[in-house]
Amino acid sequence: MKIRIRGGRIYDPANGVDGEVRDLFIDDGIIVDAPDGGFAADRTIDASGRVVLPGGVDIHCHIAGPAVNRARRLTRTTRITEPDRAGRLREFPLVPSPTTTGLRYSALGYTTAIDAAIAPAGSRHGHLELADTPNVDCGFLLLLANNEFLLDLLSRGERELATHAAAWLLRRTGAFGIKAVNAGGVAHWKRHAKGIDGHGDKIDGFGVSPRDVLEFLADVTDTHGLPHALHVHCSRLGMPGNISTTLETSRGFDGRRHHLTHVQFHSYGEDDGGGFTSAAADFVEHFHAHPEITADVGQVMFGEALTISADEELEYRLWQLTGKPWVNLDTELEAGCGVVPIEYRPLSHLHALQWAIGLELFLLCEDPWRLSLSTDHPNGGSFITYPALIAQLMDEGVRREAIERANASGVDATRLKDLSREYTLSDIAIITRAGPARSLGLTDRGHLGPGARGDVTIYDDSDDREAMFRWPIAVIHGGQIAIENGEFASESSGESFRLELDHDVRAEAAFRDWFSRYGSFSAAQIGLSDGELATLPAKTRASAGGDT
Amino acid sequence: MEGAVCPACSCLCDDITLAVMNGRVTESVNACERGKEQLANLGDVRGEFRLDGAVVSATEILARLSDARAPLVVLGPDVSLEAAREAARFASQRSLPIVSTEQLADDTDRLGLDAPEITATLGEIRSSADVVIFWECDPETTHPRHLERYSRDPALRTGSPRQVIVVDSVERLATNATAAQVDEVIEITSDRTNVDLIVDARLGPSSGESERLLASIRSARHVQVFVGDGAFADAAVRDSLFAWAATMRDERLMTVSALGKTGNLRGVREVMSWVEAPDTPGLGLEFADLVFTIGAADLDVPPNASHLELVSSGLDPRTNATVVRGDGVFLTLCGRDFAGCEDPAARALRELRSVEAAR
Repeated sequence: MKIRIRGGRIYDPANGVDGEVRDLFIDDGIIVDAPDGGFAADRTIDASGRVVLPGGVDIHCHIAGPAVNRARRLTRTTRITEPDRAGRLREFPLVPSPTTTGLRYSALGYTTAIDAAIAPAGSRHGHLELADTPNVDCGFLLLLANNEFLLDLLSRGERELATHAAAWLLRRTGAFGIKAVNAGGVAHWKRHAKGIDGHGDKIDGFGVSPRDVLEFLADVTDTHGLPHALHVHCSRLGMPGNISTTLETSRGFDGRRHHLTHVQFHSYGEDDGGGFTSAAADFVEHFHAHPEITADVGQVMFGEALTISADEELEYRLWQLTGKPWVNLDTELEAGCGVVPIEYRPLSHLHALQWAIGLELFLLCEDPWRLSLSTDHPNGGSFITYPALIAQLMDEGVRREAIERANASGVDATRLKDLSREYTLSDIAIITRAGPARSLGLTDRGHLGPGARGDVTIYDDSDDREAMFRWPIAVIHGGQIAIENGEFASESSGESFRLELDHDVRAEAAFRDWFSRYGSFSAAQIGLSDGELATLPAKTRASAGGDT
Repeated sequence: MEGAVCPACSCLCDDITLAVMNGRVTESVNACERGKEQLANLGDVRGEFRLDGAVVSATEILARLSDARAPLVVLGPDVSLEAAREAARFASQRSLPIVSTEQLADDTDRLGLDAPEITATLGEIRSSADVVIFWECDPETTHPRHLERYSRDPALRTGSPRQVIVVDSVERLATNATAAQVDEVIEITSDRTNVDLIVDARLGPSSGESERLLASIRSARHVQVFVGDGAFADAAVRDSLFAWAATMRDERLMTVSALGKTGNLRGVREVMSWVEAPDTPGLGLEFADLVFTIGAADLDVPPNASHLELVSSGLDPRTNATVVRGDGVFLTLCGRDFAGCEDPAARALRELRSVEAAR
């Protein structure tokens, strides 16, 4: 289908376009140059007076797989609300079904979403759910930092074999990248009542430390040329004073690229009484000094949320703190997961502090290209709250109103009141589109240049930024019109990202041998067969070297 | 066929080699006696709709569903994940209420809500649980390869010895074949209940039984409790064990899970969680005038209701369908690298959806 988008004001920061009024052309799902000899459009969308952005890219969310599906059952009666255009409140499950997830992302102008944590044993489940998620292209990051097979190989000094084994696991599971959650700490906690103390301490039962594991996984991403850097959930999430751990973890990479995720939860100082303080400025200072780092914020938004993490010890501590329901599942010598619902209350000192720290990170950061917008859905809040967050970033007045409603001592413990910066439309296009696409190594999206996927969102240019970003006028996904005149127009399968990697066959054999001794099912049942991988709706494949 | 899955019990052993001639299983290597019998009796690979016993077409099915005042779709244990997914999509497409036999029978949807749910996959248990307790169950009889594959025989990663215990009532112990296969047996005397024993052990031994139980648990780094399905359905027992595991977490790992019923109940539960279908809390069979069963051959359909049934070969290791173990592990019935045929039940339901969509 040929689509012409006429007369819109285009924000395409990846190509240096900042509010230029012109037409945009999509041919067979791809953005093309303005044709010399006319363009026989099948559809023309009038974008005059409107804002045109690339489709949104969510770099970190939890939308599929065993832990998410368990969370759906645990919170089946928990609803969040979103106003429709007429101001009526509509209810959604806090953890929506794949279908609703895809359609709601699409309705907000997003066309790509990356699930941040699926274990190898859950990869088949993850793919089945992602296949049921329409109108967005999806991939997932594979949990490898507590995989006992890899820890065994590293303990024995078989680093090269471990590198190939990681490549085989990535390929076999159809994953897009590597996620490290509390490296080694989960494996340690399974065997101990306490978490591991120091970054250099040995993980119980293994001859390596969390630092060794992170160095190894960073090597894997570089050796195999993965498009996205190692995606790191540091240890001590949510603990007072954890900024020291966050910075120590980052420095441990010694200049190699890495992605620090949901940094809001990792940017806490500690006062003399052991309470929380803001360390947003410390994080941002480090971030500015290290261009090899990318990050996403993990903003807390007030309301119902659900913590869901492979960081089992964290979830246990949350259960102790809140008394809310708790599910813990140790997974097949490779990972674990915990689930605890939470409500972020504006009048809570701690929750207000967390909210304010997230905004501080956004507003202090001078390089939005490397800092992506996320709420770590649903941990800090649902992705449905993105328009409200964008409004708080773009409009100081909206932010001041929110500050007035929040716990004063929590906000006053940060510099938020002193920050008057307002994000521009171009800034928003960077933190929700161009930046995350670049961080993920997805060169075919996040921009509107020739050759990019036909992922486009058209908004009314309204002073009410929340309303503007909540109800796009049109959304085009892969050249298909998904939203038109603010209404759903079509539902289509998204594409999925996966890696084509070479590996030494000895690594696969070593895994099969190890798993036959310790696993509870055949190694052949891990991930997807070659035939299944070939039939995935995987039209976009990342390959070694970062091409997509 | 190597690496096929035996569906005879919730062990779902996936190391079965099948010899298949003319579509029939003639030999099944590694299967237990129970598995061999079930595999040898697999019928034709089929999936067809019957209404009150007579074969019906998709068009007739849709007409009858339209005419029904209170139709109800019921997913049973003998349905693959793929067929369950198609059934839930069909129910969603037609706005038909859909429930599982598990939902009709008990209240496991409350897992995690009234007490924390702390559990582990069988691989964790196999390699790290140094004390395994079978609570009011008899796997030697109901899950013949459980001890061999998951809970007694495999060596621990630490190299430590493993202690296996049976806890059961005096009356049941008389016929509990597992009791003779384990290191220790703890009786629940006739004046005590499961919960009494748990409370005694948690709060301080007041009997020899609870003292022995507590001593074993205190010696462990990882205790796994497999609970019989009857006791697991009793919220008081289940939640007492989970609460105990939660309060003990600062000292040691204790995980709890049901020993598990035969079939793909977990797979149905997973699908019902992710495919949006009309929410039908409290809906029972008694209100339905047309019951559409899929993989629920044992369901007693009320005599005043019409019975639409998808008759199929169920969980069939000759197909490439998926079955989900009680711990959430997805297994391909024919083995993941073997090109089995598509589950005919899933295909029949997808065709039904296509006919509906074309209307």
